[in-house]
This record gives sequence, structure tokens and C-alpha cells, in this order.
Amino acid sequence: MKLAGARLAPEPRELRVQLLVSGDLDAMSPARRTALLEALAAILEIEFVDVKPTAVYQAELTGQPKPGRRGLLAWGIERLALRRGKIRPDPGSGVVFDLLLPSGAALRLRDLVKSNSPRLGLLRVKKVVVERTTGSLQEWQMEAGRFAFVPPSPAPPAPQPAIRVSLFRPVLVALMIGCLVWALVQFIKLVSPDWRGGYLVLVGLLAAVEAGYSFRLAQRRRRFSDEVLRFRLVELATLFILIKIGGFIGDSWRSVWSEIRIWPHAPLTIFDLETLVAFALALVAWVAATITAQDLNRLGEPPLRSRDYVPPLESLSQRFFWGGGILLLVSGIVMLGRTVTEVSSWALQVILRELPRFSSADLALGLLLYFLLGLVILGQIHYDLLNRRWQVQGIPVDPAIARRWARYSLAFLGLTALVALLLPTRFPGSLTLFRWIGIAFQWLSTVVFYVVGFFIFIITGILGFVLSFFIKESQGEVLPQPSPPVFDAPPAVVTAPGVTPDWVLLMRSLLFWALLLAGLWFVLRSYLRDHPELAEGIKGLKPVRALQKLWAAISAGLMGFLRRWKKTIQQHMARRDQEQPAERQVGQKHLPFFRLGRLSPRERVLYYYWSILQRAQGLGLARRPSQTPYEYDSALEPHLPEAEKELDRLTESFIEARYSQHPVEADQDRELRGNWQAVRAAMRGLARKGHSKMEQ
Amino acid sequence: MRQFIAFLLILFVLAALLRVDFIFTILFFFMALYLLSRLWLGRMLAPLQVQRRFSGGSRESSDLERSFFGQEVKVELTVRNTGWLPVPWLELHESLPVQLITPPFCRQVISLAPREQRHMQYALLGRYRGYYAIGPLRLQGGGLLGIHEPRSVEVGPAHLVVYPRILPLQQLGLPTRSPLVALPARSPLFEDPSHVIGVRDYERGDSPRRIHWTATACAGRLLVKQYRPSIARETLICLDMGREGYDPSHRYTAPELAVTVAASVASHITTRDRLPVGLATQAFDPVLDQEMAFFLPPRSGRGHLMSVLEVLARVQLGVDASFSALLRRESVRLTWGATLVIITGRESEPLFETLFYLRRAGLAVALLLVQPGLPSEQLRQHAELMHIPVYRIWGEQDLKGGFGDSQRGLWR
Repeated sequence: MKLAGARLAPEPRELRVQLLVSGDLDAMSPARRTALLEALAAILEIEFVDVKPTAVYQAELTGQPKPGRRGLLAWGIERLALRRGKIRPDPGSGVVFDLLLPSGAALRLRDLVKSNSPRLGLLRVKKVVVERTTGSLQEWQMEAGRFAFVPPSPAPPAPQPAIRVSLFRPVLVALMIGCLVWALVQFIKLVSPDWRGGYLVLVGLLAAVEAGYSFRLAQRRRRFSDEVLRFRLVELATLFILIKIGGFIGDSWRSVWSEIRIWPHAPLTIFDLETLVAFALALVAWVAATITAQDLNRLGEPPLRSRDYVPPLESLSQRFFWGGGILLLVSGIVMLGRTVTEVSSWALQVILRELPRFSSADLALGLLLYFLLGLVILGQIHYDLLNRRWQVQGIPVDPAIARRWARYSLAFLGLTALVALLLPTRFPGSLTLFRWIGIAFQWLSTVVFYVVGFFIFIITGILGFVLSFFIKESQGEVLPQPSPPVFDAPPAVVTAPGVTPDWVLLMRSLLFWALLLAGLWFVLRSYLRDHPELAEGIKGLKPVRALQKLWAAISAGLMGFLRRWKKTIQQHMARRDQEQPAERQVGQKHLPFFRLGRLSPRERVLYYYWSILQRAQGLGLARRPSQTPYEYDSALEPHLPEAEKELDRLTESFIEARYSQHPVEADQDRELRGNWQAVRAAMRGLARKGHSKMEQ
Repeated sequence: MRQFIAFLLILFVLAALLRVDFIFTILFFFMALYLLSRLWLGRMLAPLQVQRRFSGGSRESSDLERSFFGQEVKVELTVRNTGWLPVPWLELHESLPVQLITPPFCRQVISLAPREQRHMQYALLGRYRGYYAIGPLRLQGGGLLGIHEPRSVEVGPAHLVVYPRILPLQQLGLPTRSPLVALPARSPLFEDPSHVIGVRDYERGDSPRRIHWTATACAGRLLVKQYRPSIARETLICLDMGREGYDPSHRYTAPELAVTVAASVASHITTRDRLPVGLATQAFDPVLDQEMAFFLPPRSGRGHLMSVLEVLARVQLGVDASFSALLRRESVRLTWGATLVIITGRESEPLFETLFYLRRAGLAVALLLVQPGLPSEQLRQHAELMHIPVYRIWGEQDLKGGFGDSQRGLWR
């Protein structure tokens, strides 16, 4: 280890220190242990309290400074309390004493290490972790009798992971979830053969991929809780829209249009049962992928000291096995439903009596894929965890392990699969073990069914008897039977002539579509903003580029019209001002311009500057976090030569308003507003130039 | 992995209930996965062979190595997989004494193919005397999927003796030609007939067996052999390793220095004077993990010196040792006129009573005090009265500078 000179850090207020004492206390004889502790006590001037031979200790030093003494001894540590079971020693490395030293500990630590003369050979400070009250960590390290503070080297900026980095695991997880969704879809189709849910597999797959990707995106950006909530809601809304669109796949345009036409009159029909079921399935896939991504992200992190803490590997394997169990159950029932001719199970007879039969190769493939991918992920995670542990402990690792790991895994899984395939799956005779177990379970389920039924009968009987005292008047009455729902025809729009005019219906319809489109626009826009890489990818598509050009042309036309209209209005207003200046001033008091009038002078100055920042960001000239206002002013001026002075004035006013204590005068508002408008106009010009360049 | 068993049970129930062929295949696959990985793990570590080889010490060995102070000893660990199953990962953790290496362990992660062997090397520096366990080596290996807990085996430690530091005797300020004490007896009672130290003229009464016929023929007159007197040359070093023998403030430095002094004196007597030397001490023995008395009777020769140094390398400060009792007990085994070199950290009344007893028993006594400062006036009077030479030794600086002059603290 290279030490960067022995220099002391500035005096920290409070330090948390870990001392590694050589030798394993538990393995020592009483005489050696006494000698060790006495040596430590002699150096630290402390008294050991509650030292147990078979324990792991955490120590806390307390004491008061003593005048006239130097170094470590100046502190006069009175007591070292050792508590059990806090810190586990590294096997073979010794016992860690975790000391909490108050102020002045840096000098004492230096003296401590000086006192740690080689002739003792008992105490060795391997690593001292210094934690300041501010929470920052710095390391002091001891090597070969030298003790030094290693200044933290300027850490290279963490590389932003590209999309393809760490794509391997999320894709595998998505494929596994896809297998699960496929089996569930097949199960639903077994019950309702007309249901078209094939697209759900794709939706589930996409939802899982998207969940993994979004999780990493959210992690990278470290959003606040309210932002995360909005982020997630937008994702779910996008998912719902995709499912709704997917539900129309395979329908004729006429039927799609007829369904859409119903929405304004009965908006709840958007949330029909099929869509809700599909959304629930996709939601399950999305949640499972998100939780899995969380667990994968937690791998290698130090465990929390909480009773409810579940290690990520355990959580992942638990999910894998539970998912496998559900997949097997569902696939097994579907396979049985497709192939079985005579069902011996009483319960299954009821379920599967009328089910059609198909081949089950797809389900078998799904099962194989799920378990194979799961085992590959588990093996990779196991290697990853081991590797991280070795890296943390600084153990040199043979590079051949990584190569051999994949080779051995494949060979082992192949051999296991071969063994499994060689074993017989059909058992002749009627008294096989599995037949007996099956019969036992059938009997058990039958008994449970009758017992539960009996209890339900008893409870409902008692409840009915009690309720009969309260609802005597309803006795003998025939309750109206609910009419079966009609799904064939869409509900007709019944309008009573003369009661609801057509224009009201038209307005309602327009409002509905406006709201729906606005909601869609908001959701998609938010989603693309949250996923900029995806937005860039979509922008690169040719049809999208063509649409962009079309929109630019339309918006330029619209903007031109608006500018002309605004100019006309301004000219009109100017004429009116000239004619009735006094009236206008009075009117201004009652009708403030926008909401700026409600702001204080200081807030107004800040608003002018921030709005300029926002506009500049839109032009691709955003202010970097490291830039001061003056630096940013210098950087922005070359782009806005016609508003150079105005920008300077705005910057100065902003700094004064932002950082000064004295009140901001309201008189300068008119001048500043003029400056602000001038800068805005210059920015608009810059934007137009940019557009025209793009068009050229 | 606890969930695996539960999953197997669920699989079993599902297979029994549904009786679908493919589910049976899946069940068999996972059962095979479980059993084969367990079998693999069980057979993974058994065929491993570990060999630990030292080189650079006093001699090459694989069990017990000896090293002199300051010498570097290289250790090579060889792990060989003699089985037919590969070991995907194997974590080696060799525990080492912190006095010889920093950090006090050597670790490596390797992978072993069938019939493959790997080496791990590290070097130990004999910075502190002692009897050290090199190891144990812990081998931990596991499977590929983490279904089963990793297993570990331990290979027992080898041992390394680092001899104490030996300084040239003149630096201790002791007489170099005569070992510590010169006896006044001109006619020794016992002579060693194997060591002829010279010839003299024949006197009446000399045994004819002593006549040196060759020398007589050369000189032309009768000459008789002179043998080396052995009575005054048998030396026993008595080292105090009791806690009471040293001041509490120097309890971790003075005994180490005392051991260095004992080793230096023993080496000097054996190698330069070629006289027999023995050792008596009562100390804590880390090998047996208990306090015990060591007595090596005076013998000459390098092999015996190694035995003395080996004991001096491993002794630690004991708790219950009574040094006076040890002196009385072990002095009985010595011949009349032998020399006792007593090394301790502080003088005391019982110690002088014992020294007086030893003098009266016909033994020569020298007292080496490992302590800072001059001895007390009372000690000086006692020593003069009993004709016991007393030497004060303290600090490495003193050792480097030499103790010969009285200004540096030698008091006799």
C-alpha cells in the first residue's frame, strides 16, 4: 500500500474509530488474553469492563481531558466499555474494537500508534476509520509501523451506464416473467377459449423490461419522493394505454370505432373487465420486475440491522421458487386440461370436464425457459456476490475462475438435465407411490371441503336465525331478481327531445375528447421526458422526423399569425394609451398585468431572471450548476449581442435581489421589465434563426 | 438455500396431484440438481492435498522450521486436486502470526481443475523471537448456484521457531576470555581427560598415565599432560520469567531483553569458550499452553545451544513462577563449583538469601539485573559481602554501546 506521507487531517470534532487488535480473543488462552488486554490497557490507559472470553466486542471510550499531559494520555480515558455482539471479527484477522473518541482524537490516535512499538507485537492498528460529525468518512491507515492519513484521491466521475450496460439481467428477468404471463394467459384461455390475450405476453415482457430500465433511470436521477410518485404514475398510465390499444388488435376498424363512440357517453366502459384483467396481469409483471430490479440493485450492499431485513439473494430466490411453483401449477392444470382423457381427481373433474385438448409443447418450452434462465441468473448472482466479497476483503482472485464458472455451470446443468431426462416419468401399476399420494391428497381435499362446508352451513344458519328477528316484515316477500346483464349491444344514447339539447351533448363529447387527448398527451410527453434515451430513439425514426417537420411548419404559421395578431393588439393598446393615459393607469391598479403585480419587487426581479434562464434552457443554453450568474452572463452574451446591456442589468439586479439584505426598490421595475422583454425578444430571434437553420 | 427444500416439496405435491409427465421431469431435474450439487460439494474438498514448504530458514523442512532473528523465511503452499471433480472456487486463508507478517494472514481465491495444482507464496520476517504456528490453513469451497452452504476444511499448522536475538558478549560488558567467574582453585578436583590444554615437567607423584610420551621424546625430558579443569566451567543460566521478577512498568520490555541476554551468554559460552552451558527457567509455554519448568543440563556443542535457544525462543512471562524456589531446586543437579548466571529484573531479600545459600553450596554465582538505573546500596553491600559480581543491563542503546565501562552502568 502506498502511503501519501504522514500528515494529519484538520482536527475533527468527533471520531468513530475502529481498532483492529491482532489475535483472536476467543482462541487465546486466559494468560495470553490477559496479557493482550493489559498491553492495550497500558497503552490506552483504560480499564476493561465486562470482558468475556467468547464474545465479540464493541467498545466505547469515555473520559475527561487532563491538563498538563500530552498526547493520548492527555485524554485520560477512564473507561472502555465492551459490549457483546455488535461487530463480528474478520476470521483470522483479530477482534475489532470500535471506539468512539470525542474531540481531539486525531492527535491521540497518532500518539497511540507511536506507542504501538514493534517490541510489543500485541496491538496493531490496521485501519482507522474516521467519521466526522458531518458524516464524511476518511481513512487513516497503518502499515509497517507507519501511520498516515491517506487523502482521498479525486475520484473519477462515475461513468453513466449506457442502456446496454446491465441489460443482460433485466432481459432475462423479463423473459422469465414473459413465460409466467404466457402460462397465465393459457390458463385464462382454457376457461374462456374466445378470449384473445396473446398480446398480453408481449405487454408483460415489455412491462418487465421497462420496469428494470425505469428503476435504473430513477436510481441514477435520485428523484424526490413526489417526483418518483409522478414518475411511476406516468409509467402505469402509459402501460394502461398500451394495454387498451393492444386490446383492439385483431378487431375490425368498425368494431373499434363503435366502441370508441360509446366512451363519451359511458366513460367507465374504458375500464372494462378484459382491460382490467389484462392490466392486472401487466401490473403484476411490472411490480415483479421492479422488485427484482430493486433486489438486484441491493446485491452486495451491507445488510441492514433490522428485524424485517431480508437479504436480496434470499428474496430473489424466494421469488424465483414461488414463481416457479405458480408456473408449474398453472402449466400443469393447462397441460392436464389439454391432454387428459380421464381425470381421476374429483376436484379436477369438475374444472376440466369440458375443456378442449391441445398440444402442450409451448408450455413445456415456457417451463424450461423459466427454470433455465432462473438458474443462470442465480448462478451469476452467486458468482457476483462472491466476487464482491473477495474484492471488499482485498483477496486476490484467480482470473481463471470467471472463465471456468460459465463452463462448469453449463456442464453441471447439462449433466443434471441428462439425469432428469433418463429417469422414467410413467409408473406402471396402480399402486405407485405417486398414485397413493394423489389419492391421499384427493381425500384430504374432500375432507377439508366438507368440513369447511359444514362450518359455513352452521355459521350461516346461526346468522340467518339471528337476522330473522330483525327483518320479519320482509318475510314472505319475493325479492326482485336482478336481470342478467346484456353485453351484445352497446347502450343506446337515449335523449328525451326537448330536455337535453344536441349542442349540450356535442359540448360534452368535445370536452370528453379534449380531456382524453390532453391526458394522453400529458402521459406520453411525461413518459418521454422521463425516458430521454427512448425519446431520442423515437425522434430518430423517419416518420417521426417527417411529422416533426410538419409540426414545425404548422407551428411557424401559427406563431406568425399570433405575432401579427399581438402586434395589432399592441398597436391598438399604444394608441389607446396615448389617448387615455390616466384611465389606463387607474385600470392597471385594478387589473394587474399577469400575476406579476402580486409579487414583491424582489420576487419580480428574481422572476425576470429565472424566466430568462428557463428560456435559455429551451434554446440549449442552460446554465451549468457550477456557473455563477456573472459567468453565465459572459457565456450568454455572445448569443444575444443585441441585448447585451439588458442582460447585464438583469444579472446585476438578480444578484442584488438574491443576495442582499436591503429592500429592493420598486421604481426600477419598469426599467427591468423593459430589459426582460428585450432579452426575451432577442431569444425569440435566436430561436427563429435556429429553426431556419434546421430547415435549411 | 432454505427455499429449495420447500420448492422441492411443492414440486413433489404438484407432481403427485397432477401426474403430468413433464412436471415429473422438472421434479427430477431439481432433485438431481440438489443431490448432485450436494454430492459434488461433499467430494470437493476431500481429495485436496496441501503441502507447506519453508525455504530460507536454517534448514528446509515441511513441519518445523527454525529461523534466526531478522532472517526472512519464504513459505510456499501447494494445493493439489487429486480428484476427478473440479473445484469451481476455493478460498485459501492462511492464518499467520502478526509478529512476522502484516497483515497477519495470506488469502487467495483459486479454481482447481481435476488433477491441477496451484501455488501460493509469502515471506515471513523473523522480527520477534517466538514459537509460532504458521497456519492453520482454512480451505473453503462451494458450489456454483449457492444451493448449499460452502464447506470448509482446515489444514493443521506448521511451526516456526525464531531464535532470540544474539549479541556479541563484549557488548554486554562481561569478561570475554573467562566466562563470568574465575574460580580461585589452582588444583581442580575434576579434569576433562579429553581436552589437553598443555604440558608441564614431571613432578614426583604424577601418574605415569599422564606422561606425554611424544612430547617427552621431542623435548628429551619427562613431560606430563595438563587437562582442562572442568569444575569451574560448567555454567547454568537461570532466567527469571516470573511476573514478580520485573517491574510492572517494564513488564513487556525487560523480559525480552533478559531473554536476549540469556541467549547471548549461552552462545558466547558455547561457541567461543566451547564450554558446557545449561538453562533453567519457569515460564509460560505457548506450545503446551501452560506454565512449566524448563531445565536443560549443561552440555557443550552447537546442537545443545540450539536446544537452549529453542527454549528461549518460546518462553513467555509466567504468572506463578517463584524464582528463588527454582534456583534452590535446580542447583541441586549441578556439580560442585559450577557457575550460576542468574538473570532477573529486580533484586529482593529472598533472592539474596538464595544466593547466599548457593555460595555456601560451593557454586559460583553471577547476577545480571535487567533494569534501568543503578542497584540499591543495600544490594551493593550484600554483593560485596558475598563476593557476587552484579551486572546491570538495560536498553538497546546500552547493548549497542557496550557495557564494559563502569560509566555506562556496569556495576561489579
